[in-house]
Amino acid sequence: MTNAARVGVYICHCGINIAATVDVPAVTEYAARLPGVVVARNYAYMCSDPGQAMIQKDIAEHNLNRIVVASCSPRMHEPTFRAAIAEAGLNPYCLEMANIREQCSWVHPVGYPTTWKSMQLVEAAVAKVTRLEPLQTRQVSITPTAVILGGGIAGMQAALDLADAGFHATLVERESNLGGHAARFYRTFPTQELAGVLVQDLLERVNQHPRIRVMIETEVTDVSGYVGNFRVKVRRNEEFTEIPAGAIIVATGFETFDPHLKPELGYGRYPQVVTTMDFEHAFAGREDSKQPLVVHEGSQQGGNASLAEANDTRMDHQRIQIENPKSIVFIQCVGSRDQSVGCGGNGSSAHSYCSRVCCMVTAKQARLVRETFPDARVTVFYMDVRAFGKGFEEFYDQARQDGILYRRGNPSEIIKRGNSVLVRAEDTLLGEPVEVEADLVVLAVGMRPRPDSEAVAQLLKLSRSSDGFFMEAHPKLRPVDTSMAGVFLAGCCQAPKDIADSISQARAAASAAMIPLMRGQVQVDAATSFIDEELCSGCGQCAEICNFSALSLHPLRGKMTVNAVLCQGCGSCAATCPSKAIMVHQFTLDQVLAQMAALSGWDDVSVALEKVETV
Amino acid sequence: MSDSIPSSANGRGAALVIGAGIAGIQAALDIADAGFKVYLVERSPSIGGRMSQLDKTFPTLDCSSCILTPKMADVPRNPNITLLTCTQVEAVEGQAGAFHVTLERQPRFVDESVCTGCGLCTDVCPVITPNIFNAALDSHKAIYRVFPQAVPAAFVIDKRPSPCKITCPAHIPVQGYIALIAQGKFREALQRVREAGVPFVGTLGRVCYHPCESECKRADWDEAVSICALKRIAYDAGRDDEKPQPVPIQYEEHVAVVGAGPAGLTTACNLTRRGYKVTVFDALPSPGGMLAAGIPEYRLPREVLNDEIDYVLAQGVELKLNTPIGRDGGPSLEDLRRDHQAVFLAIGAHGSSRLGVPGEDLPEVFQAVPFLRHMNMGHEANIGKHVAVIGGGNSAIDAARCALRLGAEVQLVYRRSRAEMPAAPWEVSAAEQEGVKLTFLSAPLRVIEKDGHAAGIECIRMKLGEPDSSGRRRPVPVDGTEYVMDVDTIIAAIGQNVESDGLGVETKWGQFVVDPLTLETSAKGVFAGGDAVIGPASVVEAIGAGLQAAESIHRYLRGMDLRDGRSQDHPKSKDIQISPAEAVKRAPREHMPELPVAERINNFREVELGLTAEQAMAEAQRCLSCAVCSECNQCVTACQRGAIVPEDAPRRIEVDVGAIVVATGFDVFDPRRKPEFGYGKYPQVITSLEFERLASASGPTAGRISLNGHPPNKVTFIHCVGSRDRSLNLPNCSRVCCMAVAKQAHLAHDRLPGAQITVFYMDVRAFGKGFEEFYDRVRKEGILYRRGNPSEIVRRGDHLFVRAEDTLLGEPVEVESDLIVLAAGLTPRADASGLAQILHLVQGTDGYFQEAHPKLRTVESSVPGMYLAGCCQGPKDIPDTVAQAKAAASAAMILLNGKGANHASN
Amino acid sequence: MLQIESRQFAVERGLFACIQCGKCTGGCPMAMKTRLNPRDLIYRVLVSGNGFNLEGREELWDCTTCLTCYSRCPKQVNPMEAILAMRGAIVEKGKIHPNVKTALESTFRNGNPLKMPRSDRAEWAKELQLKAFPDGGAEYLFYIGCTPSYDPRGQKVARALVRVLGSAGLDFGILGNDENCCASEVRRLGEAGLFEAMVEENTAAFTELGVEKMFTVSPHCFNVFKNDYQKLEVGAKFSAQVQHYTQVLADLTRDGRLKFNGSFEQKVTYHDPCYLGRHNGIFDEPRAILQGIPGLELIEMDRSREKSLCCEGGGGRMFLEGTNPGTRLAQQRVQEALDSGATILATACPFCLLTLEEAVKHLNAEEKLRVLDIAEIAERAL
Repeated sequence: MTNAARVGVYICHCGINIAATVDVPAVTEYAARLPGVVVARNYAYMCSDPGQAMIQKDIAEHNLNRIVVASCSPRMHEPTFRAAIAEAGLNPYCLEMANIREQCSWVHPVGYPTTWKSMQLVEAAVAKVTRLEPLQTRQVSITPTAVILGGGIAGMQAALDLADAGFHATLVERESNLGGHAARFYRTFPTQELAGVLVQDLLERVNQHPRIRVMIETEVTDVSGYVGNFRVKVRRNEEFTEIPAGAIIVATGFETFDPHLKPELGYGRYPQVVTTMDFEHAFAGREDSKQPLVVHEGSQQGGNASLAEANDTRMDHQRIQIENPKSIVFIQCVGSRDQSVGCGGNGSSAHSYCSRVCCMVTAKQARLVRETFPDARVTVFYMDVRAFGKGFEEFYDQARQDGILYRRGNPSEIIKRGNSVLVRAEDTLLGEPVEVEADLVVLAVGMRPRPDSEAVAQLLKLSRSSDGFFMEAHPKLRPVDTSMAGVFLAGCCQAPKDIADSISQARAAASAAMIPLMRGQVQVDAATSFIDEELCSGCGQCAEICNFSALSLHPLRGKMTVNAVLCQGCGSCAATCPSKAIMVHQFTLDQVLAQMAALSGWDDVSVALEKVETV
Repeated sequence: MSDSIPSSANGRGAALVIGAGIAGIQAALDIADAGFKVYLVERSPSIGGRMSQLDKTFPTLDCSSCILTPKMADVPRNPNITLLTCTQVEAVEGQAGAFHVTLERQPRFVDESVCTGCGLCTDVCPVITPNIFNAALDSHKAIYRVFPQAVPAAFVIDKRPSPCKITCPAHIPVQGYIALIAQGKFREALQRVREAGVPFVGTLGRVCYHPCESECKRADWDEAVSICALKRIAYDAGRDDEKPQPVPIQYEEHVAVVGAGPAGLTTACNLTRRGYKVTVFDALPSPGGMLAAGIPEYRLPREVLNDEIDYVLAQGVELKLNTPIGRDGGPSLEDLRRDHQAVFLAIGAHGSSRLGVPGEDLPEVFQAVPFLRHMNMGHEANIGKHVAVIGGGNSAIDAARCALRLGAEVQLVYRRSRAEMPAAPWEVSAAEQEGVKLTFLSAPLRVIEKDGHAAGIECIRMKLGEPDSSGRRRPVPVDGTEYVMDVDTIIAAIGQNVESDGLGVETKWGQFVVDPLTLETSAKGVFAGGDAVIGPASVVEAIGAGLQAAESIHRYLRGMDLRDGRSQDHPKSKDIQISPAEAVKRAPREHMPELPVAERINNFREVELGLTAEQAMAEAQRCLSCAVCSECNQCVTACQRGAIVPEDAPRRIEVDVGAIVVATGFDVFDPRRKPEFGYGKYPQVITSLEFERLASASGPTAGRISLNGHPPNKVTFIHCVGSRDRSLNLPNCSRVCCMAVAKQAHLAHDRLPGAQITVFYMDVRAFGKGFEEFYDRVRKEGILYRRGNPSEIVRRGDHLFVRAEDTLLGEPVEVESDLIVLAAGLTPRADASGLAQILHLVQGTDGYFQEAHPKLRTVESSVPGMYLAGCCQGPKDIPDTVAQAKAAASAAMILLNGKGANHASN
Repeated sequence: MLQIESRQFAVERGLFACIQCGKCTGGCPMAMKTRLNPRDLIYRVLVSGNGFNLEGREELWDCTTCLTCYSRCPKQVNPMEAILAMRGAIVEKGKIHPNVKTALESTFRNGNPLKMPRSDRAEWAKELQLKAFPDGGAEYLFYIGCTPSYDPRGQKVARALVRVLGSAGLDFGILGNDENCCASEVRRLGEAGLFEAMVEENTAAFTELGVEKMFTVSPHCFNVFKNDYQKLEVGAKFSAQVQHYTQVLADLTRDGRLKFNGSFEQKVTYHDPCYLGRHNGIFDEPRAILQGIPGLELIEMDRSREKSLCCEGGGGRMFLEGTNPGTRLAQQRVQEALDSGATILATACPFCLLTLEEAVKHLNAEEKLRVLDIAEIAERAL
């Protein structure tokens, strides 16, 4: 195979991304002289249609059987070029990419010989590509059902879409009721509809849907399998069930920020200080508007027990009855945009992020208060009013017109003053410190990841972003995909969002999940690991390290075997194997050493092997 | 033309996605990946939408093109997607599950399936036009690719109506030969006009009354382009002695053309080229019709005319002279119809109107047409020393100037005033210069006879009364103002008529009655055109009729519909808006050199001498390229794949789909609506989209942020331009600008070391995942965020100042800036209402398409089966757009899959 | 012109991170009664382009360095440090208040800002026969500090502490007259040059003495040793483990080495010194000591722990007035203590002790409230 290699090398300018610092024509000339290279060309954007057509034309005209593309990271365009060469009749695995952008043109200081380095990278890629073997991808049939974790509005909506499209969906909820946080909201912004009605609508459709199975008070204990054929093990009380699923949607939601973490605000100390959630529940729980408003503190969540214990001064479950208040103050950004508080419990970084919904929640509640207590002075302390969504700015305009005073400044502390409290802040537009007396202070608490998100991440092998929320596959173009094929994100477990955006994202996740379910099969990458049975001792170390349960001992032969469908080609096994019996297609010792030999100037692979052995 | 495309894949139903920005692409890919057929319709030549114009995306600073390109490339690769670019929705009928959609596909003029995107065409294209994709910060050719990664990669021609071509009765591609002349390609210019079916280039370049020049847009700046003179030089400088080869005959049918004038010869020429055998009959002994018989040599040298007639004949046209039809012993029309499968009557208007006064039949009283014909055929003209020419048309002027050249003293008598003269004004003044005396408001009463010869003419003064049917004021004699002119020769030039008797074809007032579009007469297979139909008119109208007839006859003989795709409705030139590639510099037109008057008398030498080559090129460069594509066809020649389709026409496409996803995007607010910022006035004030192109590696400056080559040092960004602004009735927040500014401020900081960067804001809305963190990062780079919405931008000397209150200081401030970026908000598309009507969608008060419920039904529109994705529903950033697009896809797939379907197994 | 290069100044100190939320000013105890507005000050630096004029900015001297500003800031901007740097720029130009000048000169000359002779530094302990460090081979260095060494009220605290430590059997020694000022106030007053010189001197001395563990009476000394020395190149070698004495006592109590055989039957409220609480997060140890004393009832004022109100003794405020000739915060604080119903106002800082005691006198409340250091209360319960 090696002798017959006919390599085409294609070097991309990437506009000026590469060409500004790399002499692309020089690299092309260099590549043209490398052994095995039949043609070498460059083009402004290799990934564009003309660029791909250039490769395809050369494959036909020059009978090429190996292609090197020197451009950006293979993460971005390997699929593009694989598809292109496959269209031209080559095996898609006969492609190697040299990353001369992220690993060269973008990263070096002025004066670094990037052209030289690009040549080396291209040479290494050529050395490797001549040793690549054609591989075959496989189609695997799938289980046409889905499991949705979390029964809030995102989970319910995702389940409904999948079920409406004709698939059986299982909705797994750890609490005893569906509906999540939204079920306990009073009204929604900006239309002031009763949240209960909206949730009820979803709830009824979910409960009545013949293809949705709801499992409440149920937790996921284990997830195995792969896209198209997951097995989700759940537990209700002591009863375990295993649900087969083609796709999984994670919609586990959020929890609200615990304002005990900001002791200067006196939550838990002064009954007058409550959260937006407490306030929302107070309205939602009030049966008629003649009743006094009773706000229970700390009613929003069961979590945070450890935090509560840590703070001795906390007085649990205080309540305050509000009648004829003179002054009500709202404070925005409590636990949001705040680097001074960490996300307790899950080890991730500070609450630097904006919680996206609090500005509008505050505006909504302020208007509600205005309606309920027309004589009360209503003040909102804010830093920036983020009324960004459809109809939001108009809603905020109305709030101000209603007579709600927006004062720019983030209150520094709340202290006691007789039977009321004093909010101390600077009004930054006056440039003066102010103290506003209040009968009730509502803290617009932000959202944060659920405390169990670490555990869920481990179960599903999800990544989390630095804010602790689950990480999507790409922040722009793949907002519902995860790094795990077949597992999708919906709602606030990915990042704070309002109901409308949660619903959209849930349906987006449903769409993503539907694709494999409708196709009935998935394609499995061929770049998996494989066993050299002559070398394998069956020691099983590889199976221990494998994250995907892809390796097992063959009961008869006493050797390890690879389940190619489960294998993700990560290479952990190959690195672990003491007898070098495991290799990964596309990264065999021979291939990688050839690459290294080219890079390091060693004469050939045998020398490289020697060097490696001696290290 | 109408196309039908198979309407479903695997019988699983199909969806229509309108708009191929990131929202439409994503929705289409999801639906297609799940196995449904998708028609992705995009009105521009490439998919990619606004995202393809961005440099980087926030907050991760990914290269926008780099992440978008793979998705774009997936579209044509997906077997379930039919991509229709340059296409718009015309009509939708039916309901959810069964929509019937009519699409209109505008011509691309390049065959996508053949074009390799090599770019040879664009190299030879002579036309430069503003690059709208790059926010008009640079320019591209008329044949272009929207951007390097465009999908489809095929080039496209920007072809628009141009006033000159529309106005020209023969629709000659004026802008084409002008663009070629501008490059000194005279030969190609001549070829271009001839390719358009017009054989009389040198002739028209001399005698055309050029209505095109009256409509030329250049006149809005200074003077019209000297189009006629340029056509002349295309011939004069571009001609060679090589004659065309006879065109092989392809068809059996034989066509007879009656009349070897410009109409007849044009028809003959074009039918011969199409492969027909054509015979032209003419009553006169030489061909050319009025060109030969009516136009004096000092205007049209015979050598030019004969060369052009030879050009026609050399292609294989058979000519039978001295053969009148239907009279004077010649064959009858029936004879012709028996021997030919089609007949074109282009017999001209060679008859003359009589003066209707006593003495008219005296030998010294001539009719202008025979007089000119007589002279032009090379005969001696026997006139006296004092000549009166009666009439005010072109023939009168020609006769007067001819008489003058024969040594006579000439007076021209016209019954109306100068303003009413039908003759071309430049002809009248030339006659005057040469010594013809003009007498207006005077009409002959009788020719005075003496000894059987004319000895004078008695006239009467006229005055102008009420307007007549022609709209001109009717001349009325003034009693008692009779007077006598002492002349010995009278030439009557008061009208021509058609000698149409005896042909058996329906006429009205002597002129053939035809269908104005097809030129069919009452007799089957007989067509008529030129002066014989519209009365004495112009050469170019005759040529136009010739072209029209050739097309009709070809269709008739081939059994094709005579009307399909033909129209006489053209855009009005006053409705054509143009945007020149660069500021138009004042340059008056080149003037035609003429023979001095003294050298004109007593001879028939050509009066107009023609522009020099240098003059012509300079003149041609004055053309503003209204049409963008000049139709010079250089690309056709350059393209090695034959991918250019110059005659590409709009096509109607009908599809049946179950669901429709609307993803038509947004427009960017036009900051001219806030004149206090001086956008459009101060070049230093740009929009955020323009900044994206400035910053983009594939943009006009290759990523260098500079104005006129200078990197700015003080950059100011202004938030909320066209957002949160009730004064403009735009109360909503545009959602993305805050982060776009943060990103752009970062790019400015990154690319302009040491620059002072200021951002004026009201609220910084960094709400999304990673946004606040990005905003934190940007501030820490040293970018100054000042709270306050600037009130105006003022100029003092060469410097611009942003005036605002810094609301945190509580003080008014002025910030000097050499680049000011306006974060122009998003607005509904200008055509949103139009589309809403077609689709029956409801728009919200903000103009965006209204979703069915703002919380729970975010992608359903007001019409069942139609779903909304992306910014057509309201401003949103890329991830929110992608999520919503996938959500719309989910909704569409549920509908397509049929709600009762059950895929569950075991 | 008294200008700072404002852009560089702002970028180096991360001031551009400021989002002008006003939390610093809203919580600043001095903002209400002086011209000091940290938020506004930062903003004016940011918008001033290339030069920010410090001329006439007397309010810079109003800052008590209580650190409320930084502790509240959501974007981790530190206005206090910016103010200190501005003070430094003023001092560098020699534009120093006469009182400040005296204190600085005395520190340079006498090793204390109190104009007391070096040779009298150990006077307070002459009866106590304490081990000299290191010759006595003690485990801990007990760093006394200037106020407890010279001020009669402070000396009482020092002596009380010695007795408490003695009862627990802690092995410590003192430096006697060789002890030098820690230079904390030098830094707060902006004299960066002198501060650096003294850090170098003290670091060299401590290194030579082989100090491994040390504790201080004053939270100010504790803070500067713990947080500021090593940030300077000349103090990089400072390696001693520094504790405040309340940490030491809390450890001894927990280990059972310090036993209270007596009792202290009083209602005590504890005032968190800024340099112990907000600066160093030490809230629980002082309370643990007090709660371990039999008979003592600990009452919390509304403003406690993170919200503790500064006594106005820090940041060089012992030596100058700034733009605030009015009543000191200590009076407000004493009133809060009175409102709480406590009879004893406890603290653990010599500056707090002095300012609060003065405020009690000012309010004629000696009958109702006594101010004591935790060491003194502990001593009484031995």
